Amino acid sequence: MAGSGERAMVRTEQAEFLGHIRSSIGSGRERTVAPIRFASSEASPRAEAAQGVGRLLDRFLVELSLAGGTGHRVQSPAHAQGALRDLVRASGARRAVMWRHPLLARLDLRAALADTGVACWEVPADVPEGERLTLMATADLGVTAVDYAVADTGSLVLCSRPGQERLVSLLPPIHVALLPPSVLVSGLEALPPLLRRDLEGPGGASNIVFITGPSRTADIELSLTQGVHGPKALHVIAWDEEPGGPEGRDHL
Amino acid sequence: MKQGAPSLGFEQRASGALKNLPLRQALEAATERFIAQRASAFRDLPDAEALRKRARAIKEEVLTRLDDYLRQLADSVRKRGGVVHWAKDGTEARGIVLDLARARGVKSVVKSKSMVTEEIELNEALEGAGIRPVETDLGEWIIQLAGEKPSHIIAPAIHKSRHEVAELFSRKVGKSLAPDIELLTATAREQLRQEFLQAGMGISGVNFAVAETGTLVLVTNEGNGRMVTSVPPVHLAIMGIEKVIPTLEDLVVFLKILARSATGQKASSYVSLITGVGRDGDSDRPRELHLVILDNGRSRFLSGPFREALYCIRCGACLNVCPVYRQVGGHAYGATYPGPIGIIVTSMLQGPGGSKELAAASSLCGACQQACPLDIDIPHMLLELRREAVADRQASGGERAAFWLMAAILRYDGLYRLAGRVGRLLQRPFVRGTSIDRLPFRLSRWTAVRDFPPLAARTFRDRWRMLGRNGG
Amino acid sequence: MKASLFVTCLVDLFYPEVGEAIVQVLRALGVSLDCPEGQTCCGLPLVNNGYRAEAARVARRMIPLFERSERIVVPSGSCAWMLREELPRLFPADAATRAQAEAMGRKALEFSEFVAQVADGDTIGMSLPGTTVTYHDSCHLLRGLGVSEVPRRLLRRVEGIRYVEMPGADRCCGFGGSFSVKLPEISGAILREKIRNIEATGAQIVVADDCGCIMQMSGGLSRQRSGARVLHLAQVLAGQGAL
Repeated sequence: MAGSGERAMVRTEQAEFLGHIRSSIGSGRERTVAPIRFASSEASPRAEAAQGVGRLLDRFLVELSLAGGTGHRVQSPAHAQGALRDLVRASGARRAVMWRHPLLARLDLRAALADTGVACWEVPADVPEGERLTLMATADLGVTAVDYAVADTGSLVLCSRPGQERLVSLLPPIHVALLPPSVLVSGLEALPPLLRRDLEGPGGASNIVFITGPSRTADIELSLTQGVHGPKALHVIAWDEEPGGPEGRDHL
Repeated sequence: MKQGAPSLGFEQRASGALKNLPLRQALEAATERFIAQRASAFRDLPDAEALRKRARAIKEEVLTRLDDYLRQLADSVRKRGGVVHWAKDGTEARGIVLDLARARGVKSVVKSKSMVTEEIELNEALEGAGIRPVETDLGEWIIQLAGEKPSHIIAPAIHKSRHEVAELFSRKVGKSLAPDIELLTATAREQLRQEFLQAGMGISGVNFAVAETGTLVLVTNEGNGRMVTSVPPVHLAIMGIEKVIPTLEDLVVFLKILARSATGQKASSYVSLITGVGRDGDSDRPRELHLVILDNGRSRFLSGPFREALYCIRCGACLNVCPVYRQVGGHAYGATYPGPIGIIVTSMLQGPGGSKELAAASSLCGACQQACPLDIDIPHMLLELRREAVADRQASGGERAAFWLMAAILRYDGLYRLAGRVGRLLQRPFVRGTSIDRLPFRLSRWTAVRDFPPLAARTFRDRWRMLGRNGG
Repeated sequence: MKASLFVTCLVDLFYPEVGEAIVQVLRALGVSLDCPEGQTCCGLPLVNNGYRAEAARVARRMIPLFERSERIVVPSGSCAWMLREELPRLFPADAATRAQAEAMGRKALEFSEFVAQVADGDTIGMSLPGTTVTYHDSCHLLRGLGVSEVPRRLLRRVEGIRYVEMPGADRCCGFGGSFSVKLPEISGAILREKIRNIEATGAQIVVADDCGCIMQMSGGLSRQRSGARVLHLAQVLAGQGAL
């Protein structure tokens, strides 16, 4: 029944649609159901982190590895540059796109990349709109911070907002994420109250993604292959608590 | 056109599948792998039973007040700049998609895996309107190139060998490709990347829709879900009414279950939470978000014995353990949704009076319910479908007569004993030693495949009478 | 202890030796067994094919036969399931009969459940030295009634037995009642996989607590001229396992 006959059709309105559903449920509506809910933990990343971020990070890195990602644990934020440089040399990357993010600025990663001869653009700031897509699609490397990380599953949570372009972590074949200890949470249960805040208001993040390892498929003969449409490799550079106290959590 | 025309009937399509050795080998390998992975994923989930109960409770709550939750979802989506469309059936849904595509001058559409779009035969409608749909999930793209339908909910192309895939891809790119999986995957990445970048619209399904925030959730491994919903300027999502869940906390429950049940992973590579359209100034997001909420017969199940079928999260676990599915694969069912839950859902989509032929495609072993993360009582729903088939007079005259006779024999002891005596008499020419290897007429359906035991010369009840009734 | 035997149509008509084995085993355990007259069938084949009203009529006739029973021993997992789980559901509008059905269901135990209750800890059966035995979980017994450990425990206690766990023991044999004749090719394919698993154990005897499964598997093994035999647990415990 496809084709031009569909052009001038009647569309069901919300009231009629929902009315039909309501009457289909019928007397079943009278049922009272007490859904079992989690005791939702209001723990902020900082509070969780204080409980032994070292162990959280241990767990995170194990899970990350099981999911096919590569962890790089450095002694301190200052060493992140070195890890990035090593990574770049090993991969032979020439062009990088990067989030405009306070953490990445503090770590002076642009300088690190420049040292290794990698051309780097912060997206969108450095690039006119028409060229952004092409640039990200031809970059070798995408560098981001993260909003949260989940130890139980080895997942990164990235929210899209100005300066945190979503395609930076998607289009280039290598994704490098910088993970400060303060954003680690234990399990998925910790996320709802955090995400609710990120979603609310006019500035709410229209796209949030949980990333667990690189892109993969087993669609051909069940043989696991990495790097289908998303990145082929996921690298996470992380460090433990600094002796002076928990790292401040920065974002706009 | 469904794979294996429905007019052939399940039995004939199944017969064809049983003779297809490569298919059966692929099915065995895939289902065994999924079963093992799922088992180990749930073993190290500390609160698996509690999660299952929670998930059921959430679904029960949602279905009880489904209109309220859908209203809340629609309000939340609209508040964040999305447009909500209501489609009572596939015709309306197709119309909505085509209207939008034409209004935006869309020439090609990239799609991430969506059973719902298969259900409403959207690709055919798009092609009919001169718009090119491109499946981007690797398995879906493979079968699109082959002109086939998916054979498994989670792994649509498991029936295709790497050689067949190499051939398909070679024809597509115009040069010969070796049957090397890495190479083939890289080829797909390259080809489809171009499609993402030039498509005017991205169409996705929805795994879960969170009512409180208006968030559409997409669970994928390849990254095509993210591409489809981020690159083209328009994102259109289609969901069945049963996909709505109340809160983000509820989402966590389902996320824990879905990946483990479907592929045995703790988490899929990507979970996308899409909430409206971004603010002005965000450069890399779609400018428009459209949500199509589809009924297409689901509301029919909201009260009555099939309600639980709406709990289904399309994980495919029941397929992997079903003794019938494992032997014949998805195409034999001749429907969008195969396997145990597929039988129920197909009946739902067909509506009253639809064929209940598929309800016989089960040995009622119950493995499906056991594997189901939501403990859906598929066996009882199958029994109910069979009851409806009889009530609708779908059984053949011969079958009805046979069961009427059986019922009489079981009700009247005299008839029962007479039937035994008649049987013992009639079987004599067929008994060879201790078994019967050939029976006449319809009963030959048994002996075609295996031997049959002869009726005992003296029934147990007779022997008991001989032994005396002393309690001993 | 007193108990009534629910014969089941398959035992009565095809496998009376299973019934005899049950009588022998239970008597040896000191159970005073009776067998109410006029029994035919629990009605499951009618239910499975959608003839619920007819099944209800059969049930109405059958329930009073066991009114005075204290316990009911059922040879088959599927019939035991029918009596416990499904019988009351045949009477949604008839509260009185439903109550009777529920009462009957509460008294019903599948054979191995019953033996474990009566003789827990004892070694019951004859010895069966040098025999390799494996066990098939029938679907209704395993998934319907949750019984899987008990029959294995009872088997393992038979002296001299070499028990081997079958791969895929919990997978359907392909019987499914009328499924076996409605879709015989598929039923046969499922059966062949089961037989491969049986042969992988090298077992001489496959034990199952359901005569439908016994019929299906022995039919397949006999057609393939395979050496293995299929026996009910009661037959092994009663010494019918020896050749």
